This record gives sequence, structure tokens and C-alpha cells, in this order.
Amino acid sequence: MAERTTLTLALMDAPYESARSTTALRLLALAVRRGWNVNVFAYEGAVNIPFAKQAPHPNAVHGRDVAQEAHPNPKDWVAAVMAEAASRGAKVDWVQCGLCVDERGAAESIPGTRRGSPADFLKFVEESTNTLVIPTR
Amino acid sequence: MAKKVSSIVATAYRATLEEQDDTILWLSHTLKGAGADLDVLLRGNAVNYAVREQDASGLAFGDRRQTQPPRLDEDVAKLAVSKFRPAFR
Repeated sequence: MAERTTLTLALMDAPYESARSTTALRLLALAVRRGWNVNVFAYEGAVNIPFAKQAPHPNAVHGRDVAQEAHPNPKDWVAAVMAEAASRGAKVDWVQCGLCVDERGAAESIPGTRRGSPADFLKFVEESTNTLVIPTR
Repeated sequence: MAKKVSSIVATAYRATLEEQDDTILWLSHTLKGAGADLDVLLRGNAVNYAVREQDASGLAFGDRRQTQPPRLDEDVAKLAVSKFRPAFR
């Protein structure tokens, strides 16, 4: 049986700030759809991507209430990708840079994420088929 | 004397999928709704906001599908009604 491909992503951008964080999640989702394992090292603002207290809101400019607006929260996208990985027998191992979390008060992240350090990123790199760093600009 | 607001949008598609709009266009709609005298200048990549029939639909992560994708051309068109004027004529 062929060994499962493992991809590592290092993310730096905060949610709601650039197109890069959504693009990174699209890459993550595609890898999971292919049945790959994916490691994520969330660094700097990216630790807010799975922040548990994100909440949808209504949008008066759009003329829609909270249900109609269906405002996307990246934490839900991450959870959905993790669920799809599990359904395919793959895994998303999402590590939150602990110091970055502390700086930002972002300790409350969704289940399936864990606190770590750059040492985890190095371990990811050593164990992965390939690694992609998506830096902030 | 009424004050004018000039908004310059130069960074296009900045988190528009997450926000489901452009945040400065959204703010401009809000200010305009509150009675502000407002101009908007689209420059750089943001000139693409005025292109008709952009389609950002189809984004999905697992079982979560985006149902209200950004409609930036429509947002620009709505601003262009009544009080909106181009900044450089």
C-alpha cells in the first residue's frame, strides 16, 4: 500500500486581512480531498484563523439578517476541513504557535488544534513529503 | 459646513471572500447611508471591482458552502446611485 502523502503548510496571515488566508485554506482543502495528511503550523496572525469566539453577524448594508448573511467564520472552514479529512482517513494536525497565541490572547481555538512551538514545525518538515510556507507581506 | 469623505480603494480582493464584500466599499455604503458626502476612487487592482459579471461563487470547505459570495460590481453600482461622484473628473 502506498504511503499517504503528507503536506505541511506554514501560515502567517490573520483571518479577515488578506486573500492569502483563504487561499491557504483552499490548498488545505484540496490536499484533504485527495486524502493527504496535512500539517499546519499557524504562526503570528494565523493563530486567529481557528479562534473559537469568531461569530457571524447580520449585515444591514447587504439587507440581510444573520441567517441570510451566513457570514463565514474561518474557524468553521477549518473545522469542516478537519471533518472531511477524518471522513477520508486522513488527518489535519494544526499547531498553534504558543507565543503568538499568548501575544494575541487567542488561546481559545477550536477542537482539533493544539498549542506548539517552532520545534513542531521543524518536526513537520522532517516528516513531510513537501512543505509550503505562505508568508505575510 | 459639511465635510467630504474621499475613500481610495487600492488593495483589491482583500479578504473579500471572508467579509463577503470589500470593507471600504461597505464602510462607504454605511457612511453614505448616514448622509455623508462621499467620493470613492478605485485605483490599481481595485479598478477590477467595476467589471460586470464577476463570479466568486462556489467556495466550499468540506460541507460548508458559501451562500453569499461578494458581489463587488453590484456594490460599486449601488454606490454610484445618487450622491456618488467619481473623485477625478
